[in-house]
Amino acid sequence: MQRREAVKIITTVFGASLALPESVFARMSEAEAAGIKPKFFTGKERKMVAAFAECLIPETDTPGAISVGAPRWMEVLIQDCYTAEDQGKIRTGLAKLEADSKAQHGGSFAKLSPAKQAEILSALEKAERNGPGGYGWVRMMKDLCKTCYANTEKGATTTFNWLLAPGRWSGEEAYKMGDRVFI
Amino acid sequence: MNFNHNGEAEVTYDAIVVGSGISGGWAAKELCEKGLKVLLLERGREVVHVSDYPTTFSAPWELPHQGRPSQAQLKDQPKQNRTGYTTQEGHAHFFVKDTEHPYIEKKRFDWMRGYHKGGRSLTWGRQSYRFSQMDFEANEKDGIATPWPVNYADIAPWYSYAERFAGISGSKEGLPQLPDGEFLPAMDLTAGEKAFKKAVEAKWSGRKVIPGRVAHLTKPTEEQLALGRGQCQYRNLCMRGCPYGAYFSSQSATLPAAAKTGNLTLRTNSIVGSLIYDDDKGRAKGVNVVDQITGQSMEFFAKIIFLNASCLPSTAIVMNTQSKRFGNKGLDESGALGGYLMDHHLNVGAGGTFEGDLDKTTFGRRPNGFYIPRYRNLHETGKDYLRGFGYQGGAFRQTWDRDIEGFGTDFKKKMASHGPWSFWVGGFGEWLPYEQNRMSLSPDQKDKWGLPQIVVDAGFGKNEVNMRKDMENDAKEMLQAMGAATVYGFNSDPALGLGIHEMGTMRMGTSSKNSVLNKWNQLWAAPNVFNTDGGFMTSAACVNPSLTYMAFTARAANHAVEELKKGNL
Repeated sequence: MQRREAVKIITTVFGASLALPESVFARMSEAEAAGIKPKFFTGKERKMVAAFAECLIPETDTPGAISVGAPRWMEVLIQDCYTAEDQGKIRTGLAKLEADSKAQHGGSFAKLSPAKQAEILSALEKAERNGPGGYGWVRMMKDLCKTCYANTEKGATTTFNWLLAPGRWSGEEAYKMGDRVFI
Repeated sequence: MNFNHNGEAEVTYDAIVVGSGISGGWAAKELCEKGLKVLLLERGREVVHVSDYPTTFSAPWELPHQGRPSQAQLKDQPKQNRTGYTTQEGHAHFFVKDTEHPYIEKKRFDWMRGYHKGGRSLTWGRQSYRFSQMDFEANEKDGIATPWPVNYADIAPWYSYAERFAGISGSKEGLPQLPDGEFLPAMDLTAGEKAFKKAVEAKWSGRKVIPGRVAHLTKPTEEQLALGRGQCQYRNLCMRGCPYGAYFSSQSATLPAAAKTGNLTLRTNSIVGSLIYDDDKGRAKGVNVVDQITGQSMEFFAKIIFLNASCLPSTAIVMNTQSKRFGNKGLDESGALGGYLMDHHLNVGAGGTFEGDLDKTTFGRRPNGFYIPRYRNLHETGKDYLRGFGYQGGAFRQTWDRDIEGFGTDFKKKMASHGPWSFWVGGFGEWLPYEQNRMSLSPDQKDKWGLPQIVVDAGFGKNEVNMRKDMENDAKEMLQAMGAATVYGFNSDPALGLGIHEMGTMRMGTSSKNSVLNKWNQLWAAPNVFNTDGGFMTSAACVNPSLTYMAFTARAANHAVEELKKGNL
């Protein structure tokens, strides 16, 4: 499946508030330009991470997490850059999310509607923020997801502005809320 | 063993420079331009300007891990990782593999090294400040360590000389504790920083918030353009090597100037283990070299030798030199060799957010920040400590990397917009020279080239601990004074080394009884040997030291050639 088809599918799907179709996940475990094949997650975990990412950064007038390839980057970074301890935390969190989804919401997390997913994750986030240290699995996943998103070409140049060589410096430029931000 | 079959003539030069980093590049340039045939020995690999900067044009998505170090890489660079930034994927190849270059830590010592042509001139922070007369007088006034044998007036013209060539961007401020220099246009403060400046300067008459002084070409001169250097493009990817030659490095500036003379011979992969000492003449004849690839031993000879291998390795060379006069103790009779190791202490200060001026942002990625020159024990006294500190910091509108609650469309909208101004104010404190803060050579542990491993045993004193309290509190107070919405302080307990300003183990002084070097950076024990990297520093001041190394190198090279002409060397 080509990326633009994926974008189309996701747009359609999210417009209809349905779960992601199987075909969306097809390319996520393939090696990309840098040649690193993501192989950390099981197929099921991979789908959950993709669903999490798209739930956090959905397709709108700019691309969502899946169409920029953020879930693949997340897996590559977890696989290659995380310590064994942090890898364990990611995995444990996914398992817990899946168990809760099944027990309390009647199905696998990845198969729930985006609205339901957002509801579950928001509740988890609230509990985590009120908990000891205010930091946990949800924040860890969110930080990784937005980092991976902002560091993709599509994310950096659609949702944001990005230039390799800005060519000039200004300490004071006009800005109003809603303007696209240079990163 | 000597593998130089063709006799001494073929391996003899007018001058040998050991190390091609900031100070070695300067030594090579100055000596070459004065007509000497110079052999520049670099222990590491070749790094060709631009073409050997493999990541300089890479976007984050073109790096295998978007710039993050992998665990596999960190296995080779566990110590280089201690700064938290040196091992990033875009520039990790300009820092050593700790597995190949071991050293021994009696106390934790965070030693960041770049063993390749250009050394740490490729990755340095580029902040460039002058010492003041107050700094050169400090040891004598406080009665500690040993007095500097040099006054500000001796070095001021050499600062100007170094600044004009290197290209330092900055603003003239007329501050006695931070003398002005020959500046290219300053980089503007951000709107948030201007609000901070206004608040701080209104409340404290002795505190100033000024643009950082930085070795970037904001408006290149004819001389700089002729070397192939161009204007800063505000990418802030400097540590990867600059394809425009816009910041000062050996590659962009001193080495091309040296090469242009036709007098430079550069040999990479050449590790200098020791000097060849001539007891009869009381000078060094040459250097012992081992090729890092082949393991072959070689000797090279010269009338003048500049040691610019960086502070600890230069000291190791002098320590590892055998002589009848000093035995196996290295070329020193003062006991100062290896002692008085200093750095700047940091990882202390404050941060916060500011919700004013939200109709403004910035454009471009400024490779610089603001600077607050020292004011403690000048305009305001410090509590139970000598000397003082400066601050470096910055304020930018927050972007996606801030903490944003929620999921979905609303989250995405916030992520794509600016948050408030985010401030970071980090202290750089003067570290006093303590005799017991030492490096030495291991009697039994060797590296893979058979050279003794460096042992470091150094730490904080009370002065540093006390100073850090003000460094944190003052930063918090200044942010509060501007009405920052949130303010947090930080004061971690860093080891020596994290400032990457290690210095002082071959200090200069007034006599061979109190120092290793004289006021011209000459070894008392071998006047044809000069040290002009961090080794010579008698005290650290609180400002970044590289510009001072440049100025002292140019002055020492000038002196060396004058002495040579007079027949004194």
